Amino acid sequence: MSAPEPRLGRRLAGLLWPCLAGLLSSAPAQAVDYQVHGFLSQGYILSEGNDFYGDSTRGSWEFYEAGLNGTLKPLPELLVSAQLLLRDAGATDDGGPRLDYAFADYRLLSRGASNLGLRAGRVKNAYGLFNDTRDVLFARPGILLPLSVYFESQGARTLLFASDGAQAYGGLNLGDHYLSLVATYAPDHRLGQSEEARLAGPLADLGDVQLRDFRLARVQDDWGDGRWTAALSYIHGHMVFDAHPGVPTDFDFRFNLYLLSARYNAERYSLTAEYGITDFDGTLQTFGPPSQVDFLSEGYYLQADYFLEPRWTLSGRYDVGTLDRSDRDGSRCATSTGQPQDRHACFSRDLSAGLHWRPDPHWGFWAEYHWIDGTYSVSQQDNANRALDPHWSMLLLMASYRF
Amino acid sequence: MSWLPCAPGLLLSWLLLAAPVQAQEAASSSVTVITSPGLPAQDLSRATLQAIYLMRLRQWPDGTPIRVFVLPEGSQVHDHFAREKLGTYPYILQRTWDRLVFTGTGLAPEQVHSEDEMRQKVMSTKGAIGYLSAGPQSWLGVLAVARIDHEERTHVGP
Repeated sequence: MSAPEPRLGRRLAGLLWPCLAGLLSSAPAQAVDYQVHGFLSQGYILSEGNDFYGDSTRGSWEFYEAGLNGTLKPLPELLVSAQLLLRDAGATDDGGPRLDYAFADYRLLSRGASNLGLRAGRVKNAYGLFNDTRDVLFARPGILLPLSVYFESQGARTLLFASDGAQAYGGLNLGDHYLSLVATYAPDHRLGQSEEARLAGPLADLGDVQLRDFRLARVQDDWGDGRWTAALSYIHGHMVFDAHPGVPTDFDFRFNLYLLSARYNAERYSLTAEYGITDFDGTLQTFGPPSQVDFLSEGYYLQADYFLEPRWTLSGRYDVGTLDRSDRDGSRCATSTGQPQDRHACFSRDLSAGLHWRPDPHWGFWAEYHWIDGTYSVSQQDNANRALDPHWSMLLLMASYRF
Repeated sequence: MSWLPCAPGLLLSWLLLAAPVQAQEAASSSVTVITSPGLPAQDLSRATLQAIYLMRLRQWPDGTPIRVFVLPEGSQVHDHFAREKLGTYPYILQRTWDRLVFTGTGLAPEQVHSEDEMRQKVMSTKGAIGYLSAGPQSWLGVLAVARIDHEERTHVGP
């Protein structure tokens, strides 16, 4: 049994593109109850040591993102929104269109700036400061998200990204503070084939992956006239592998992700920090006796953005991801599988510097240089059949247009 | 003195050219929050104005949907509005609107390209709110001026 592909999102995407394009071409400038926006970003990556998003050691253009969204407000309490997304990222994404989100948002209660509402459909998962806008360059903190907490290369992005389910949200104005909560519920479901392949690698061909009890919540406080933001996010899930008959492979584990976020915005600079812990607990059996898996992964970063003037921003970031936080240098991890493995595969320490220029509100140009120690954030898919280089670096350039 | 016959024309040109300069100077001193003529004159707290511009407050007390208008991010009047009336920075507002737009959880304010367009849009749109550089009352026409508390605050530091 294989998952029905293309999934519902793919099919809907095909139907909605012409509809949104029609809306766009007829969008009048008057005060109306709908808006159409979009973006188009193209990147170029030149790396030394490992490939990242395509054959980047020779220079890769295999990194683009494009989105078109529409939001309609048929009633004061009702919003209907959808976004179509195209994304290519080397071997980790295929460049095809997909339905990024499509939901109805009904506001049950509004008292001043406080509110309570429900969303249903394909909803964006609120996780940390940037997960729900992770593919929009203008709304994330650089060409690459901090990989230690936003998991681009470990196959988890499609899970993190959006859920077919329901979401409750609320906001409460308390003096100078604005407290908000977003909680997401996704019914148990089988992962799609491409999701399985990214998460389970070669195991994906030997069975099906089920995701159960998937729940997310984020509580956030904004205060000081937008200067301060703090948030706590939580994700829980239970992943079960149903092996095909006769396949002596199995896994069954639960994961809990906790992410603490903070941001300070001053007139000339912004400081952003997030610290996340992922708790994995379960059993794994690959052609041998089952083994118990129980460890805590850790990721954190600190980023500083300095506004040289309104159009130019200088950024620096230090981003650290560790597979097992009790083994930060990877020495135990290198021997745990019984196979020789470089200890550098168990962590990544990424120091980066960036420059961002926004000549007008529609255009933006980004440049980043990353010096990386460790290969935890490298995608195996981009580097099939080659040994990873533990000390590597890359230059990323990206141009983006939005409206 | 062959240029004398041109004098009235020159004088008029000078006046016409000088007028926008005066408006610019006014813009650098302060801004006035305006609402559409159908709405009663408002006494808005700064918190309420913030809630409106962060798109959290969607309706006026009488239930009329709020229509929010802004000048472009790079505009000086917008910059003064953000700092003086909201006590925040333009980039913080822009980030908030980008989040709404790209998560589909709300509508962004409607952008106008000039103060003239702002005046026209706020005048002709039910439930509208916007801002103009503070100038002579005649510039405002029939628009209602919203009084914001903390008016004396001209700049808010971090």
